Amino acid sequence: MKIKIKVKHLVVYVLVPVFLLTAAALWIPGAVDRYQASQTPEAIRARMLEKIEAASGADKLERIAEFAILPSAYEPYTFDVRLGPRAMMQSDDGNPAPLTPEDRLPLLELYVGSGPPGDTLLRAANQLAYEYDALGQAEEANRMLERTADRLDLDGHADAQKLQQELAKREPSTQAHGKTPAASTFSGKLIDRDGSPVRRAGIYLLGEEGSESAEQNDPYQTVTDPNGNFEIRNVAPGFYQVELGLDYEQVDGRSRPVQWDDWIEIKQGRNLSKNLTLRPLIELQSPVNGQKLTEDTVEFRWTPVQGAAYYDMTGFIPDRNGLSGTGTVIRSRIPENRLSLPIEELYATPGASTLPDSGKWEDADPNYLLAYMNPNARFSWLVRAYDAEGRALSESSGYRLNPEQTNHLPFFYLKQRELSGTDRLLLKGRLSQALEQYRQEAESDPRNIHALRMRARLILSNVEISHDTEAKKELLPLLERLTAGVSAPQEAERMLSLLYEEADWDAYEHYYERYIRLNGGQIEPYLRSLHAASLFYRSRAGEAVQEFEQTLPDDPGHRFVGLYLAAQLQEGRTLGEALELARRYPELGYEQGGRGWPNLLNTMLSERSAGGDAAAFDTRLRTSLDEFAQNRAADPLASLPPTPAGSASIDAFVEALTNIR
Amino acid sequence: MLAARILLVKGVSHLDLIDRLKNQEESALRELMDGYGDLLLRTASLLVRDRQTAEEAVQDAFVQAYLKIGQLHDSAKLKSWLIRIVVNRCRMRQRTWSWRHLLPGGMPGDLPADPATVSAGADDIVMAHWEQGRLAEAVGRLDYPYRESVVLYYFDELSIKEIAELLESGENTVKSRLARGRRMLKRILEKEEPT
Amino acid sequence: MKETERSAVKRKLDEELKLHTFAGQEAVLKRTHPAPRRTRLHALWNRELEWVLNPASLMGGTAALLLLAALPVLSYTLQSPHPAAGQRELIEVGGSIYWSDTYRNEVDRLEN
Repeated sequence: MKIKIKVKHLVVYVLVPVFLLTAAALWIPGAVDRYQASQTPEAIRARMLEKIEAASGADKLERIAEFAILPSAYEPYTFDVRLGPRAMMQSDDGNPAPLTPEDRLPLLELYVGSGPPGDTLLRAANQLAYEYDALGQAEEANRMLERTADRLDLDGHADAQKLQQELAKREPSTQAHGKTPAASTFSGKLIDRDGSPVRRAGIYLLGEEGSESAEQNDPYQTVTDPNGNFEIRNVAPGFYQVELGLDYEQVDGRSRPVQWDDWIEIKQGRNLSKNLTLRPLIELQSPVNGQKLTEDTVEFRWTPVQGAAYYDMTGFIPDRNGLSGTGTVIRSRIPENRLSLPIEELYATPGASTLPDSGKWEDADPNYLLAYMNPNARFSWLVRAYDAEGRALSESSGYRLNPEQTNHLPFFYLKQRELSGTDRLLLKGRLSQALEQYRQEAESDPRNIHALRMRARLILSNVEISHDTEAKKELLPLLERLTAGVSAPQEAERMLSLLYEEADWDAYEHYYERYIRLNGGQIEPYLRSLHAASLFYRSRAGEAVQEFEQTLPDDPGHRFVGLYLAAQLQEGRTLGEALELARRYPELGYEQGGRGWPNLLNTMLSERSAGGDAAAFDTRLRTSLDEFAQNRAADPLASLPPTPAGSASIDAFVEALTNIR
Repeated sequence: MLAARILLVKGVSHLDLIDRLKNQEESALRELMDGYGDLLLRTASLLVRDRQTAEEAVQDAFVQAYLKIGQLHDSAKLKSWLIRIVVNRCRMRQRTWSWRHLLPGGMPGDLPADPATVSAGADDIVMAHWEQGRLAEAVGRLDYPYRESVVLYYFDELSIKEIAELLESGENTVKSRLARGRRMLKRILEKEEPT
Repeated sequence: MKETERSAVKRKLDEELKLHTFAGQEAVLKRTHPAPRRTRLHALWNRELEWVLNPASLMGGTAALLLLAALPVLSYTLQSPHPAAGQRELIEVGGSIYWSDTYRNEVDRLEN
């Protein structure tokens, strides 16, 4: 009798189950023993080193591979935390690394010198090069890689090529005769908060999304040496953001040295040097640790930051599940390291807007609506410090791991008022009922600001979600009264965005003025840019230019630069002048390349001169821009394709403009 | 169906699968594609509207994910990491249309011979031939930044926070994009109401 | 249960896109795992074996199975010291990141 069976079935249905059964039978009782005998890292390290010491020859090499090379924790550039412009990310915990770099160095040298060719050898070589780099001995690393490549070459191994590639990446940019090298070097020093160097930290350069560097398998990366120095060679010209790789001890209590707006430009053939400093996290002094506040004025205090020109403060309101959710800025441009806020102004500050899953405003989270008027909510806050140029210096939120960092938890309660019956109804989720009750309360007692405010908030939520025009009509007089009294800038601001989108320009202007007054005369750059855009749409290009020039230096992303250029063109600037401005304010980030606007202008310039009739070109451009502005004046969200102007480059430019929001 | 196949469980750390991917195991990559291929393809379809481009984008994404698996720092975020790669690849295809064809080296208006750009440019024609439901089509008509947020929120069911991390934007920016996107979607759908 | 707007949209999109299934697995694998190894492995995996049942081969088969079963035993006794993964959890609260145990200790302390 014959049995026919496929290899895969044999393995899966016969061999594997048998193996598993016996393994289970064996390991379950064994697991208890092993758990009871769990080792301390010290003991484990000692045993590993012993085992390696005790072995010799091929055995020894195998043990080195098993303990010192293969565990994933030893891969180069494996850090606990990645600190980036916009994010703090942890890597997977639970990959223990008992051996220290000092332990591993001689072991790696041994393996690289005499280990068998293969993946493990390549890994060992890479790890060893990394260790040399971390010691500031890049030359030694290069020599080691060369030697190893030669050794593999002699044996006729293909792997030799891989090492050659590594080497090529590390070599300094080569000089072609007389020409400047295309690639540059980025170098500097990473310094800790007390001035000491940060060693064995990872430094990465991330290009704009979709650029060459984002495509490579290995990003631009290097590790700092014992003096904190770092150097990345062969960097292609372009705009980059810097990211750090740190271990928990290095990041604990320190803030990110680069913030989300920080771009550096690597220019063709020019090297760039930049020192990065980890600053201490800002310590919050008061209110902290769940303090229950009862005074009419809330005093926020924190430790001052050296070199700070101003601060901003963000509050977090817990949602119905008690989680922090999105924070919103309470005040910005705070000149000193404290803020005294009358409780009424804090009450007037709304929480973040929400979009309920159901799509109905009645399902919005009431906690965000009641916001700071809820005596039972545990609020939290954080501050950020900025220098005179508007660059972020430090913040109070970050990694707080050792117990000393944990002793000023940023929580507080506002106990100045009590929940009303209607408030309770609201918190239970009965929004429409609460709205009706607030309305009655407000009408029967015109001095009941709370009811008025809650009524406005609920209707605002309705308008934001469903765009009910009736509701909007009802809302405006309420907001008018509120913002005329003790209020917060955000109260006017929420209305502003709505009015802007609906092109309700008269009301928009009115609330813009209100907002400025409530904000102590200051205008947030983003709102200012929006305002400038609206001026351009409404054919007030000259004023638009002025407003844009106030904000562009502060907004490194330059998201609105296209409109600024358009406004300048309408004001009579030449294409050449506009090109100069486009170069001065490159638009960076994911959507547009840093080279986008200059390219568009260049194309227009060539088409203009190639066409022969410059005046006609200029007229076409002006007409197109006028049409664009008019469309937007009626609907700022309009994305109508432009009427073809008869010149492809003009059409392209205007099309790019329609992508700006 | 092999009895020994490991199922992908939502929300749980995929430590084992990721380790196997790092070990370059082909079976792990197969599992990854079986688990996420459909989701990523549909996400890409909603974003780029062109079936061929979407298919290519997802293939590219898997290749990239496989090669860069070492860059995934938190195994519980496997899903959003994969989606992020797809989103970036789709963005690049978009940019190919709006920016690259404007760069020196081609007269504006001359499309490069890349088939991806050709199909992106011939969107309306492709859409007419490609059977799509109304809602998906309406989503495809949104402006790109809004389209992204809407797709990630409604279709991929990511949270605002996850979307913000993925797009490297602030949460408030994502929220406002979502709100506007939703509004514009309603406008599109309302205009299409059959008489 | 009443459907939320969000889940309704999801459901509708799923419905509209259900015919879109990903079929590019082989194309991807061709790029990540260049052919030779793969096709050989694949061929091997699907190969049919013939096994003639007679007393000798049965004994041989059983012996092989027992050996296989013994493998875990062997590897266990030869086991090298490996550290057990001790996990500490990180949590994010109020914008900052803490070790969950340190944080809980602090909260307990404050509440007492």
